[in-house]
Amino acid sequence: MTALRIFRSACTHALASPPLVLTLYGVNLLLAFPALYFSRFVLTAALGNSLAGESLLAGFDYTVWFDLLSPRNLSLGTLLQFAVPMAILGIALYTFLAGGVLDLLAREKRFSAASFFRACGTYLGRFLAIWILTTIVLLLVIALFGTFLGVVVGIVNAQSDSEQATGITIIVSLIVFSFPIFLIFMASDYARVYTVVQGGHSSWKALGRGFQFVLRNTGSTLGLHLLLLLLLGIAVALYLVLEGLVAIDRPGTIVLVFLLQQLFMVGRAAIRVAFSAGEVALYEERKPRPVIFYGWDDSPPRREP
Amino acid sequence: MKGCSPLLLLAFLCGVATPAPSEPVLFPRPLSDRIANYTIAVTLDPAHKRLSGHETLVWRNSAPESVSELRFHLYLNAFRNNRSTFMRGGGGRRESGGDWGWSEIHSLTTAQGKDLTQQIEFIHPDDDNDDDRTVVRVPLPQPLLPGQSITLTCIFTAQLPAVIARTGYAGEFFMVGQWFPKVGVYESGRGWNCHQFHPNTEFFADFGVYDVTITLPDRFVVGATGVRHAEKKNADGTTTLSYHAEDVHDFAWTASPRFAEITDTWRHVSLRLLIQPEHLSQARRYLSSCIAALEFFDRHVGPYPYPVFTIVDPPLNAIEAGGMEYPTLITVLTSWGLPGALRLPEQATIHEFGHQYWQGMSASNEFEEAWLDEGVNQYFEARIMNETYGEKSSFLDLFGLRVGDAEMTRASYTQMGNPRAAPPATPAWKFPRGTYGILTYSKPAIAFLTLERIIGTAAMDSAITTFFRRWRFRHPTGRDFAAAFDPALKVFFDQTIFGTAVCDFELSSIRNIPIAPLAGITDSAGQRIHRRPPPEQPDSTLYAASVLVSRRGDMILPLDVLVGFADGREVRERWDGQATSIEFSYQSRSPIRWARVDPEQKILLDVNLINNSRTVNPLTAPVWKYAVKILFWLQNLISTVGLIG
Repeated sequence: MTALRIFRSACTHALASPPLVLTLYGVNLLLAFPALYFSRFVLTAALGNSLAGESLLAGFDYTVWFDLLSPRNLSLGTLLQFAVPMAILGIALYTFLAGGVLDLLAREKRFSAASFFRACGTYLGRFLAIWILTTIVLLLVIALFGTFLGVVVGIVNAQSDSEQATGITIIVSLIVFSFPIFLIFMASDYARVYTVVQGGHSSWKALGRGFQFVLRNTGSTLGLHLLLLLLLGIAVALYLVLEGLVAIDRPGTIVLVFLLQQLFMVGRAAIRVAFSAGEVALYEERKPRPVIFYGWDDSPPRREP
Repeated sequence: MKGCSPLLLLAFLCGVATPAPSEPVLFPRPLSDRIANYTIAVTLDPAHKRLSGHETLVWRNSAPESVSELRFHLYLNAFRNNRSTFMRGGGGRRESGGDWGWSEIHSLTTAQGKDLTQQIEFIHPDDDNDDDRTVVRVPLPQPLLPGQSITLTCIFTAQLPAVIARTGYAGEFFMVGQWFPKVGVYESGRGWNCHQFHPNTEFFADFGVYDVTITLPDRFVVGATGVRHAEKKNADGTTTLSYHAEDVHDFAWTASPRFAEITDTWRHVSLRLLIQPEHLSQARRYLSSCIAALEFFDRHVGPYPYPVFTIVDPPLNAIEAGGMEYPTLITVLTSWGLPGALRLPEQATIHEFGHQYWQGMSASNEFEEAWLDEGVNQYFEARIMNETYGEKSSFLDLFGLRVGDAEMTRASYTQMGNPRAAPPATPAWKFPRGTYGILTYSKPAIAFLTLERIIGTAAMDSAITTFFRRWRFRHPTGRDFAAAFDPALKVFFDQTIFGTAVCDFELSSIRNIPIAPLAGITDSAGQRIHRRPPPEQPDSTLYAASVLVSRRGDMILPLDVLVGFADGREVRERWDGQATSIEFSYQSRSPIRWARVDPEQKILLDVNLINNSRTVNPLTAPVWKYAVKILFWLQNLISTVGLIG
């Protein structure tokens, strides 16, 4: 319930910050936009003046796609080569932007590009360090889980002739395993919130505090993350349904789908801002308070030597 | 029911539990020449995964010359150690002891009591691998004259390996294939055809009659080649099952206490499905696809003569046992929770059933010409899958993602790095690494689908039916298959099956050059005339229009070219494909708008269909459609990875 309450107020917060939402969206579009021209260029080169393009308008055709994506025409590798650097750039960029977003939300300042990007720069080093530490922890946990899964599946396989038992074991293990993975992601998030809200300088300490916070408030933090996933899932489903209603075979409908896509991306940016606002609000509400003693010192008197 | 007494068959199918049963007669008139006939009594020791067998072979010399020795396959020795030709060739891996397989002959005697055991000698006719023990030769006491038979009795032990190459065990599941000492094929003038077991090779054997009794603990459910005609409970908790098969060239069986049994009937054939309990919801998928295959073959090729057919569904941890054909018994594959839209079990069932015809009855040499069973069978798989489940969605039809069986087969061939690696008609063990499957399954299948579209389904069926009738229960070669077609098609087979030609036609260019009206100085009756260009009139321009078609590959095939003009007119041209290019020229008031090579897409062998057409006004919409999609999903990728950033 806490997660829901906080998320509701965070959504209001996000809706009240259109410049922040549009900045996130704009940076995303700016980063991906060269892909539009790149893909247009390679598709035009691959299709040439072929009538095969008309089949592509009609919908999915395995043979046309397979021939198009063969090395003779358009190598799938060429497109994938573009995706990998984009993904790496995406991680770097969002790590950079996270500082500005959290700073703005934590200080409840009005958006100004100068202060936003200044804050991005201020926290970049620490956030990168947190990202590297998180990745190391994540890889260790994945390796551990891989070994565990191998052993468990081996045991189940040896004791049962049914793949049903093996399948259920794998599914249950994955569900169980998703919890520590969530935990690590959440800890990483709250490590950054801690860094911004409490001005921490040590990444190790920040990650530790992140874990501490998440473990003390597992229900709320997990609830907030699940809400994010649910909201994203609903948004994707909605987009796919709407896209399915449009026959994308004319310039007009292509423009319509493009606008729908960009609306979806703005929505994603808004969800992200709301989610970050929720994390900050939750941290502010539950953060460990400094203990102040009022009273007297009643320790036993020191014995004289 | 064809060639079989119904009452007798009914009695056998009901499992007449009488002691010392006499073997039934399935085909009063033998369907084959029954050269190799076996009587085997085998006992399974499930704890040690071991078979103890007593085999009596009656072998007849059908050649016009005398035979001085016999040769046997001991296939299981391929899994004896990591030095066998199979293992050296990368056929499988065995990390430690305990799961190796082997076969050992303890004694071999003639009917006259002559012990030949000491004369047994391991040989390796295909390579110089002294460590390979998959073939033995046995000199005979005296040469066997033409038409004479010899009876040999053999006592052997077979240690089953952990499932590998379609045989072996996984827990209490047993797939017992290639398990008994099996005589090779003697070919007149060529001698023994008895190859070693290689990673890619399968089998080749003579037809005969098999009488096999299997003794094993009574908790096992058993499926086997042929008809079960007796079952005897023994005092020690075991059961002895008696099987009889006629006019087959192999005998395989399976046993597992976990099998659920489902039966069905198609005309004279009793269908039996032995399925893992967790796959029961998919039982109908196996049976209905099997019936679809039975009906298709009956309609297009010829009758299925045997009264029984068994489908074996192995557990997932024995998946290597799946997808294999034996006479009247096949193994298939699926997994728990497999969606109905992914037609893997149907595909496996139809493919493996097809082998009852291609290699089962038309018993080609799988060692030397694997394409003749695999390629022809793959072609039939595509036809049956397409007819039963729809051409563009026969393999997958999920969330708008639709893939046809033939499309997938074509794709596996066209994506080859080097489609010229070897002709499909190459001995199976001589293919360059990684090319065997594509060149023996996919390329011939695509070649035959192309041929069918060129000559028509009726002509294709007629040729294949002729081949089948001519060669069923015999050993045809690839040339026999080609000979069933019009002699004019020899060049097609030479290019596609016996050669390495690659097909790629291209619509290279379209040109529309306006022809200007006559202007300048001309002579007329000794007079010089100055002509001025007439004033331009709409739609009066004459074009010298042409399309250039090129043959980029070395495969020569006749094909059509369809040319579309701006006024909607279409002209169909025919090209024999002999030259490396051809230009079709026109003088027309209307320019050419588009042209297509092979407009009906008959030539599936063409490795690049994108370059088969051309238009002077390409649409930009398809490019933008997918460009904005790529942009969108890339934005999402960046945003998603950003969550962990």
